[in-house]
Amino acid sequence: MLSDNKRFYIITGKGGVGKTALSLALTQYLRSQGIKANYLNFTTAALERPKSDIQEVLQAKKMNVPFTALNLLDCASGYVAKKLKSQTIAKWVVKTPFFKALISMIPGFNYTIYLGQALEMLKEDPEQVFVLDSPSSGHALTMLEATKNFGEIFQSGLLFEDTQKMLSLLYSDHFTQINILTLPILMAVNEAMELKESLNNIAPVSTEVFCNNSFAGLKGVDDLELPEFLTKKLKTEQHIQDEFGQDIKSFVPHSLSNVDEQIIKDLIPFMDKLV
Amino acid sequence: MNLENRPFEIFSGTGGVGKTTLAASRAIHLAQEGSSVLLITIDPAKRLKEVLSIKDEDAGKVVSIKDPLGDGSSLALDVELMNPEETIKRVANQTESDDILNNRILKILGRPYGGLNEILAIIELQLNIAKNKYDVIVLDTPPGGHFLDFLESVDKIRAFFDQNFVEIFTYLGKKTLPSEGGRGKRFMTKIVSSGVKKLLDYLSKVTGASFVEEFLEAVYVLYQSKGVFLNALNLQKELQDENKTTWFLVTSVEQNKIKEAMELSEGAKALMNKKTWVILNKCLSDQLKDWEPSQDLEKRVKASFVEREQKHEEILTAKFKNILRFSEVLKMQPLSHVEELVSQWKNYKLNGVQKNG
Repeated sequence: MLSDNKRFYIITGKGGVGKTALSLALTQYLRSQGIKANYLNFTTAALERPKSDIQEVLQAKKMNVPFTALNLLDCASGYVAKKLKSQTIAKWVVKTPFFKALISMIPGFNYTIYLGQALEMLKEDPEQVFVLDSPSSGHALTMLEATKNFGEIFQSGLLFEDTQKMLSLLYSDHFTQINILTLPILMAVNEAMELKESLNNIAPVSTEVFCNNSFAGLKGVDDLELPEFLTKKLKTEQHIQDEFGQDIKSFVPHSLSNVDEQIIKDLIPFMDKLV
Repeated sequence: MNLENRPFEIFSGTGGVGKTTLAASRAIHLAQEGSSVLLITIDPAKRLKEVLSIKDEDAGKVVSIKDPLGDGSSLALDVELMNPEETIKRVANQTESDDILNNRILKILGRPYGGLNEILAIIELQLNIAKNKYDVIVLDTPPGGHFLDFLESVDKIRAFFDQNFVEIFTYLGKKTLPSEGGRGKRFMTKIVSSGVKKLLDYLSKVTGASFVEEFLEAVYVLYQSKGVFLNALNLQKELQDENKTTWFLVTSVEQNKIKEAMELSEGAKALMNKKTWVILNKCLSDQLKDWEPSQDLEKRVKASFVEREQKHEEILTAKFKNILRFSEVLKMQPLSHVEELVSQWKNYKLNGVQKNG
């Protein structure tokens, strides 16, 4: 078991870069190292959407990856109950139209509630590690910025104090690791670098960029005779290596499979770089 | 069937499928065809901003761009990089009240990642339509984790104003409905003196009293501006009218997002009109068809790419009649990338759109 592993891995990046597959692979890798890691997903954002419906959670189940799915109203009512020391009042409060208005009007509120619950669970169980398959880039910023914004919004009161505690835990370097995933396309890499900068402006946390789906990383690719689009792909990757090599921690090879389970299995051997 | 003559074109899809570049190239193409075009875009990559000559400080303003492709043509189109703060200001102008600008909570929420992007994009579209200046408005929607996030934002506004407000005000009794000249403070006093006091007491224990006050004020301020928000709701009818709006749902061969494409087709039925186009982007078939691999690994590489594209084709053709295919663009520089996509739009224009059997 790794002694210095972090507790909270946030996997983020633009949509379609492979965050879900990579988060599942990372969870499995950590498990193989004897770490009690769970895959975590916040896409249950819609109040009414049952969590069993979530595609990513179904994938985790199918692959036997331990996962944690949170329900927004349960999280909120659990929190209020703790603060007011009454389950009954808490259930009533979160069901009022006023509370629902609060959630729909302040879209980042749900992230803060989820994040608070996840951090609470990490505090309760010192062995627990989470791999958060976070929403695509704009939303990851929303999540972190929302939490920061709430500090400013609430100013005082229990929630304010708790938000401050949350932030200081979240922003401690040996606790959180943000991994930005990108693709070997110039524009995508540029965006990942911009995202890294914006995230670091909000959250002073160790942040690394990884390039997924690297065709150059495919074993034996150098000896192949390839059509134009693939030789150009390789050239682009070379260019990215030259220009951004230092800022990209690792290139994760392209998988030749089109089956999700196999793609995830192919990723596992490269996950040590993300830890 | 052709792609012309509809005042709104909306590009929707998950991030990373090439939605923003497709929308930009579509706008340029329409301008080349002689339409006066406004492109509204949200959070594009820096390089694309460079291509479109948008500066960050111009965010929220409509900027006129001359010769976007840099080929010396007299082409011009208007581009607006959305900025939630500016949209909120415009809402304030419409309602002739500064309250919306002064509420601390609304200020924080109006920051670029404050979370109001989707709702404000709808309002921005509505406000630009009201100018009556353009033949076509091309809207690049915010990158959602899900195809339907943007569409659902219309319902979010509706839910907020229809249900929550009505419920809150019904709860308080009709007399407490804020009058035009009433101030937030007076409104709050009324709320506090009514039956909701108990709830607010509980809430303020958790959130702090100042928050509850400011939140009520924010609710009140938004209520004052509800005309603008509810106008945006009327837009939904136009968005569903096939004579007014062309929807482009963008997906990409590059990604294993087949399940999402399936989910999408279910959700799309209810929300979009019949003339919804699906764009399958980054197709490789043209590049793959002439490749005759000899080594075993080469064969596997080819088979993997062919299979991936076929899977997408099968699912999309089973669900959608209107599919546009765009080939993978190999140009590394963003400008030549956009240029090539513009020419791919031209192909469709000349040949008419392919229909699936």
